[in-house]
Amino acid sequence: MVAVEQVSGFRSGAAGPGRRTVPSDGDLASLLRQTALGDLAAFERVYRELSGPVFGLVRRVLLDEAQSEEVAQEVFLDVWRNCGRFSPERGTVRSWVLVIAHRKAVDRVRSEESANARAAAAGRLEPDTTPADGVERHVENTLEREKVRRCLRRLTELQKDVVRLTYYTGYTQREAADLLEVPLTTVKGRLRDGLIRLRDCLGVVA
Amino acid sequence: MEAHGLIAGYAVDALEPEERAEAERHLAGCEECRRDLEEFRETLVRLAYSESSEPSAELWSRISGSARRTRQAPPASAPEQVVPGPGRWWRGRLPWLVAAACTLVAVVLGATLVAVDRHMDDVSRRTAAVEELLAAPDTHMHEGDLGGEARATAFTSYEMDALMLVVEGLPEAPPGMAYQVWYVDEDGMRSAGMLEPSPGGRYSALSDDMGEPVQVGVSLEPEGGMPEPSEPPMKFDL
Repeated sequence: MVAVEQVSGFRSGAAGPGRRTVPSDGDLASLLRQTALGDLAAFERVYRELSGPVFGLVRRVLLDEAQSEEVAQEVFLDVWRNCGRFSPERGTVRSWVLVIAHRKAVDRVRSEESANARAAAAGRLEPDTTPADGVERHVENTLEREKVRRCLRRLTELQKDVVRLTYYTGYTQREAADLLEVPLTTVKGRLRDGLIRLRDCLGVVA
Repeated sequence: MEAHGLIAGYAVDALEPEERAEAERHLAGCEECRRDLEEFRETLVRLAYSESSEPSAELWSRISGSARRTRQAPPASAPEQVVPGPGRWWRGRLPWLVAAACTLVAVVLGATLVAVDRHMDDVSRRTAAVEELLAAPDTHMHEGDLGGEARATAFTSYEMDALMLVVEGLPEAPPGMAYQVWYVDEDGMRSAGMLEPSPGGRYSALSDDMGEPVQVGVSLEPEGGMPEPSEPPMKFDL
């Protein structure tokens, strides 16, 4: 049974075994091609791989659980609708889906009447340490969290603030500059330096 | 260099709308920037994974239920896929072409020349709308025959909920008559406005409220348009 799980390359579901094999970028790209042909089973496997990061990211920006599920639903329907247009030369499936997720979360937060949620979110930079809903936390996730946390700690204070206010909170660079009372060019520079430092620390290569 | 510095902001969706357009223009012509963007995005994938949190088990049943009722967009056609970089080349270069032309929006699309003529007071609004439509991340180009010599080129964006249609080779409409555009979907046909004559014997239209039509139709109607087509329109698939 373990063999089947390994061959298929995917965990069987949220309540499945604690270990799973992470599908490669190539696996995901072919699943997305099948999804484009209307294959719901392939779509489910894409969903199982990406529902955690999509929901986690959206919730990190929006904070509200129910709204975050709504937005996550929009994200996956967008993926379903437009997956025929995914083109692997422009990046990975994970990146494509998470760009959609971040955009939708940010759009939602900017259209929100209450800025309270954002103000609350603005206080936090490091990943949430509490696993959601008692769902089993996978070893990979823990390791990933630790790596990311370690890399975030290596940023300067200003780099951290800028990454937190833009990526995690949904402010524009201009709004971040106003809040931090620094020139816009400083915000732009620190964001760029910050992302480069994170990239190098996480060993990302295109 | 100014636009160069926008890539990080673009990656985290922290640009003002006009900066975003500028970044997209710049990306179209800067390979190094596209590589930076790809790396930043992969970095952000790692940050998102570190936030992983499973949504409720019901979410998948809601999504799969909706997916069953949602039509999928057709795949991007081959010529678009060979274009390198994060944006299709026309998406990146269109805005400055648009800006460069005052009364004429000239877009070179491979062999197709799309020209849209506008009155001066209408120009900026229209060019902004065209620019926005063509810059939308999901904009797709379709081509189809409308019978006789008529060839249609349509740009659609679900995100913008809009359609831009350019038809070449249509016979001139008789006096008092005009060409009307129709969205064709499962529920029937809805007007998508009138085609307007452009230089070079072309006709064009920019229409919103697109929804998810399966086809686009064109019919000859009394000037000002009709609520329903009075003759079966010539149609092509989206």
